[in-house]
Amino acid sequence: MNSLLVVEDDSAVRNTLVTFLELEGYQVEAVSTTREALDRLVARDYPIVVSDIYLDERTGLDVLQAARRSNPNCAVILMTGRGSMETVMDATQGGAFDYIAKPFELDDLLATLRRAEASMRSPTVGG
Amino acid sequence: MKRSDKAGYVAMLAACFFVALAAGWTRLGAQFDADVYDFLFGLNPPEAAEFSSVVVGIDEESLADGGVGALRRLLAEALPGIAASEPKAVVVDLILADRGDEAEDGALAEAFARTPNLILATGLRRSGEGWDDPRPEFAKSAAAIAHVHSDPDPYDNVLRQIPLEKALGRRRVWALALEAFRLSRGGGAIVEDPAGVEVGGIRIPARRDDARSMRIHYLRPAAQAEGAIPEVPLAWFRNNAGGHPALRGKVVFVGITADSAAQDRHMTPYSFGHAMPGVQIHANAYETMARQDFLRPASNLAVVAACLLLTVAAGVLFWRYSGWRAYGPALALLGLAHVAPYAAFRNGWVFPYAPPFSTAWLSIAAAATAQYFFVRGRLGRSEAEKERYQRAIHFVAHEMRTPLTAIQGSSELMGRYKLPEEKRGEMARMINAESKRLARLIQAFLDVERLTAGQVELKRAPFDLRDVVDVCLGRVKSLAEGKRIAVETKPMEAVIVDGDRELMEYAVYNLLTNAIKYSPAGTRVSIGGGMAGSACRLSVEDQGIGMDEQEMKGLFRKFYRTKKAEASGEKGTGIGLSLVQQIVTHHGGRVEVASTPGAGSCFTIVIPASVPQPGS
Repeated sequence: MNSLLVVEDDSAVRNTLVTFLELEGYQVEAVSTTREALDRLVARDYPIVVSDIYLDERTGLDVLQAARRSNPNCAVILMTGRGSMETVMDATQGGAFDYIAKPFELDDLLATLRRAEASMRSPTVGG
Repeated sequence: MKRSDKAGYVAMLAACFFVALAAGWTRLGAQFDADVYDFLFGLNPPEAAEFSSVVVGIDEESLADGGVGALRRLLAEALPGIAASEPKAVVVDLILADRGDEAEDGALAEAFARTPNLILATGLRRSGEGWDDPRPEFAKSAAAIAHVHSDPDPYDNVLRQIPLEKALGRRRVWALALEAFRLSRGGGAIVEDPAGVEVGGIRIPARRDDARSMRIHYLRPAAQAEGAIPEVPLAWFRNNAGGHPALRGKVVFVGITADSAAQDRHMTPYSFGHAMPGVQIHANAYETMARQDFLRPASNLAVVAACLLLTVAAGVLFWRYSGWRAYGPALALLGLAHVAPYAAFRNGWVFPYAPPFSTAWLSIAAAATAQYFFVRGRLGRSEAEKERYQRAIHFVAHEMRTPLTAIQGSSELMGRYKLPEEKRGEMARMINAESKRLARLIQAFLDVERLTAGQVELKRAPFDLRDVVDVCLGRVKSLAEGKRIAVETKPMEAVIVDGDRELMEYAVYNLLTNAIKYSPAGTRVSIGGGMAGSACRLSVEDQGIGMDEQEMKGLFRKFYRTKKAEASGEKGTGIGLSLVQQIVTHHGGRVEVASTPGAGSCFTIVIPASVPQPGS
């Protein structure tokens, strides 16, 4: 199973995601700030990153760029409660694999992760 | 409309009223009034009716036999015929002050002596030192000596009124027309009071303080035969024996009408470039009296009252109504201002045109413009408020989605997986905590709305402000640590505030989180204060992005965020500081701000407080 990096500033959501993804067999590392996320992405490659968009002074889009720099094949899935069109456009144009709106069904997240894994096995990467 | 808006609106209309009124009484306004007055004569010509006077004109034909030098002889020859016509009175509009040919003067004196109800003319000398009275041999036969003066408008030289009296020293002389009217009415006395004179029971409006001026309601000029006062050439009496039937029972005005000889000619409202001989003007003045067709000038008070009424009406219209409900009546008001002088003229009143005209236009234009800008401003504010409100709703919705995600996910996990008991307990506690968080969020949002609408009642109870500061410091600890910001507390004495502790916590917490959110990492935020008089000053100081004066102006507006705050990437609705101010104001206090761009800000809550009593 793939290892995952979860970036989420809200501890309740973060814990829920970690518990769920571990139960689904992923090796999960979770951080609460962009600084920690960028440090982790410099330290190692993650095939999949699940990140909130609105975090602290920097956003999930900064995480997305760092992840793509670290591993061009990394699938970044962004989450937010604010589903504005501009945010979706920024996320997809920045190379995010997909965008998921809070609150979401766990199965929806799982399906997105499965698609990300499948795309990594195929010759092209994208969402 | 706010009180200041109302005051501004009233002040603007008052200014319009005074400016318009003053403009109406300038030279330009007076000329405008005079032109309209003349125009109204054309619109409202007097009906042709029985005349009480006849003009015996010394025209070109009459002067053919000897010219102006033979005037006395010509007059002496014609007077027997005029007298034989049995007129009511004969007015000779000629100054006969100088000595002429002895034989001619003798013949004229004899003719005057045989003319009943004779009125001879006099006039003030140009030097103003005396009267040009008729020679004594003429005057002794006259029933009255009357003046020939007129009162042309100083601006355009049009003769619209005559002075009924002229005085020099202790001698006062009535006008030719008035004396003629008196003799035609039986020759009684002229009774006078400040507002007018009365002759044979007929009251003539001519104010004493206006030199007894009487407006002449002109009949059509002689050039327009129909409706003009009948005229008989003096030559007719030389060529015909006996009297002229047209003169019987009339007042006869004898004077020069020949263009080549008449020097006393004046423009009248009917002139259109052709001056009217003085004798015809006197006859017209007489007809005004005989027909009692007077034109009374409206009093200044009436004009001011009418203008004030127009301004008030315009102001009320645009204050209370908008759209066609305001513009329709406003048009009617404009129409009224234009038509009223005409209606007044038809009823014998001279109402100036310029003051109501300028007042109506200026007041309506100003009121409509003010309404336009007020409505546009209100619309703009409403749009901005709506936009800010929508941003806040988006923010709140996002804040709600986060605990919802945790609740939804955790409950799904508990139902789907067989979790260890410890994990299940942890999940249940999380669901409980997040549900409460959600409830708090909803409550806070509702409180915000109620507080904004002024519907919140303070739960007052005495509390120590230091306890509030301690609680808030605990709540912001993790946020400050996350940003590596040092929060320090300055030493603070015990301060008792009688107020709503929960709301005060919100206010202090809000100031602290703002200070931390908008400060760069590695800086310091400090909080502290103490009593100053009967109030406590609690300050939160940071080393953050700061604000300039322009940004500080809108700081406490609901949903307002400075550009720097927007650019910082920090989440915020822009409602926090507005609520802080409302909470503090509800407690009878105020919020003071000092800030320097790039150096930091200091927010100070100043609130009524006291120091604890010993033993309390």
